[in-house]
Amino acid sequence: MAFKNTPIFAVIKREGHRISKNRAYQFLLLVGPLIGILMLYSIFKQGVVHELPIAMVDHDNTILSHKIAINVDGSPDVRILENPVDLFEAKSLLERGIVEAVVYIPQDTEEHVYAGKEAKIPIYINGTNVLKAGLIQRSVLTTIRTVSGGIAYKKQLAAGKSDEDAMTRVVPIKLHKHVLFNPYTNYSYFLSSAMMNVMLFLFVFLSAIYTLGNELKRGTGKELLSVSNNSVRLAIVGKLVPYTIIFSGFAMFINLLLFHFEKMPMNGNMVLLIAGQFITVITYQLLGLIFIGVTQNLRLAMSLGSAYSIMSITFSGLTFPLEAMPKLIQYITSVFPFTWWEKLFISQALRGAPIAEALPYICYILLFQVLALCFLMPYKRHLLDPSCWGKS
Amino acid sequence: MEKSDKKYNGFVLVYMHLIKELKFIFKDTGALLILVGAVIIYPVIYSFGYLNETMTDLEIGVVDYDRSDASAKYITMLNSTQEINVSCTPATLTDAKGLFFKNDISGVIVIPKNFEKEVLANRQADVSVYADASYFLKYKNQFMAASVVNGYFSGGIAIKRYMAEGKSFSQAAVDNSPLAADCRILYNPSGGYGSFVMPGIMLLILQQTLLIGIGVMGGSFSESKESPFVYGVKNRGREVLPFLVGRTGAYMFLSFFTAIYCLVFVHDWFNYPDKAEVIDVMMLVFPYVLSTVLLGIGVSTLFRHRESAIVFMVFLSPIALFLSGLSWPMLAMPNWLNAVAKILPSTQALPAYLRLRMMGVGITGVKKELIQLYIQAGIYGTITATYFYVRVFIDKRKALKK
Repeated sequence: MAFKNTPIFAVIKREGHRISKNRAYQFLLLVGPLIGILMLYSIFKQGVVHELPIAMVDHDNTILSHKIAINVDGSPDVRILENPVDLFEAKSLLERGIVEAVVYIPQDTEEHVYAGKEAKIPIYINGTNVLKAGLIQRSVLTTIRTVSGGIAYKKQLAAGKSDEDAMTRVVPIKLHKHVLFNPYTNYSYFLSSAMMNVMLFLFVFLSAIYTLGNELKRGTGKELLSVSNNSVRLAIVGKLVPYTIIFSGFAMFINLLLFHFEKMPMNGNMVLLIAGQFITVITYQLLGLIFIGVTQNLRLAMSLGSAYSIMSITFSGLTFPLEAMPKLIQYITSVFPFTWWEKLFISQALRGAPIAEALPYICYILLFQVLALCFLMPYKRHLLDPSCWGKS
Repeated sequence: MEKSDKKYNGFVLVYMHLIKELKFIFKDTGALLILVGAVIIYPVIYSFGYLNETMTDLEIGVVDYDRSDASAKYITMLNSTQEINVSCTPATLTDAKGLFFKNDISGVIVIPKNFEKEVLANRQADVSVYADASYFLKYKNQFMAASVVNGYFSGGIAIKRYMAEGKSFSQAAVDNSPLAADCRILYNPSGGYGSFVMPGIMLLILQQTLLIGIGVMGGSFSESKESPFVYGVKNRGREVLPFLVGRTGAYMFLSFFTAIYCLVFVHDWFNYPDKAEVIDVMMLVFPYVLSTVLLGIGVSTLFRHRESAIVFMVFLSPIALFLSGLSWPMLAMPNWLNAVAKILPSTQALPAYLRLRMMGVGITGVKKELIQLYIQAGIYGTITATYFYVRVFIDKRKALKK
């Protein structure tokens, strides 16, 4: 029998016809993912956050204070946007959200430094945004320590020490920092890769719920089963295959954006990663079957499904590590395939971990597929049961 | 259905539509799940995720090739930081690598041989940190802890050397760091992650659930719903405004309770920073919710099927989060995106809300955003009302042709 005459081909053809007639399908399949992925790509394109605006109140107005200002401004993380006359004006800039931090150089700072008296530079940082505050703190502290070290070094030289001795005095122990797996400490690699894939899985999941649920909503189950030769497995496979193909295309598009255009490192096994991505796509499609099987209601399944997908972002350990969450929440996080996908992705793309480390994650993702198989027969029942039809 | 031509007072019409919409909402499980269920569950479950606020005791391994008193002291100091916990001391860097890939440790610090000898000989000693930058917070914590410990350890050595030259302790300390930065983190001193992200997220949850919920309730001209109007086709023009006000009122009424729940109760239960008066918070949240509801009603008319609203709105939720500048600074985004982001009320409201709530700037400190939100609400209200008038007019023409 030619493939063209098989029931599965008939179901695929039927699905193609449905897609071409309904704008919601077209949105789910093409427009939505494209907009979502490209918007996320644009958000994170610039990569590293830099030039955060800060204010400097300079009451010393000496060569030293200017040197501090130039060095602070020169670091890529911050830039001095305002030079308010006093701390009151600076506070108002901080409260209006114009600057993120204030560096205050008190009067007589230079005099104190050269007289060997204590000289403090207060820095006030807006801590409402942990990410920005962390960057500013690191940047300004490093700059001031460097300037301070430079002064101590010069004093040592002036006291007649050799270059090496002076250096040892200023830096007795040198800390060598090795940044592993993400040499540019590019936070956006981490966020954009995760978010683009979340977007993909969200559309995969919702489109599966939509297409499987629509059969119930419109009561077209009998007709579907007659096309598929009364096989629910063929019906589901035939219905989902067009989506699998298109979303796999989107998956490759994401990989192209990440690894080619954003130049994200690929330290591990690319084949394993792509296989994992493909498996996760299918898993989310089958999760659609579970959600429809449980609710038998298209709209309720869509609502629950979206809640579930959005929650998976927070509970993947993306922004706040899983280890830091309470134990109970750590268990909850395992009910999202995305959590395992994210581990797989980091292990392969960034860490370049051995394949053996990544395989368990794929197994966890496959477990959801096994669970979905339990919903094959119930779905068939629902397709044929008029009491499940018409609920919107 | 027969449409009556009986005349109603405008206020009565508003009231009728308000009650009718509320009844529809409470009869609809899907909508109720989003408008009420999600708003109740999300803030609490997210807050539990961030309950510990900061990440402590990151497990790291220290490879100590020196095995001296000095290296032991260095390790003790590392271990006593809040950020890291030295859970093992592998013999070699290769062993440490194995433990790392088994996920037993998240980072490695190496103290080379002759560490103590170099220190005692007045030569520069070295320590190496290997931090996993694939997870941002872990990387930041390990480096911070290592830098702090190294700073103290080095400081101790340098101060002793200055004192050996005959200086007093305090003079040695000043000589060691002539300029001392005194860093003060304002408004969120603990640097807590939940305190940083949750107040904004809750505000965003209100917006997204409203947009999705209103969409699910269906556009007023949606095909899967019968016409909501009381008047017949010919006289509907008079009913457009009361209808719009009534529907808006219904969602405002519902939002009043959900907003109090999120922004007052949950905020308080989890002890998020709060420097604002409740009344000021409500004054800012009112135009925010109003603007959101009017946007929601306007956008919902675009969907032919009610579930399409979910499809369209859900994927915008994570994007709205980033566009609001909460997790990812607006500065790092292209200008056109920042402009597009202004469509969403959250883009204006979120930064203002955080300043009000966490920095305690008072309602006058967010005057600009307050006005912008009212203008936004006005624009969305006008567009939606105009669209309704046009639709009603078209329906009337159609009816007359028949």
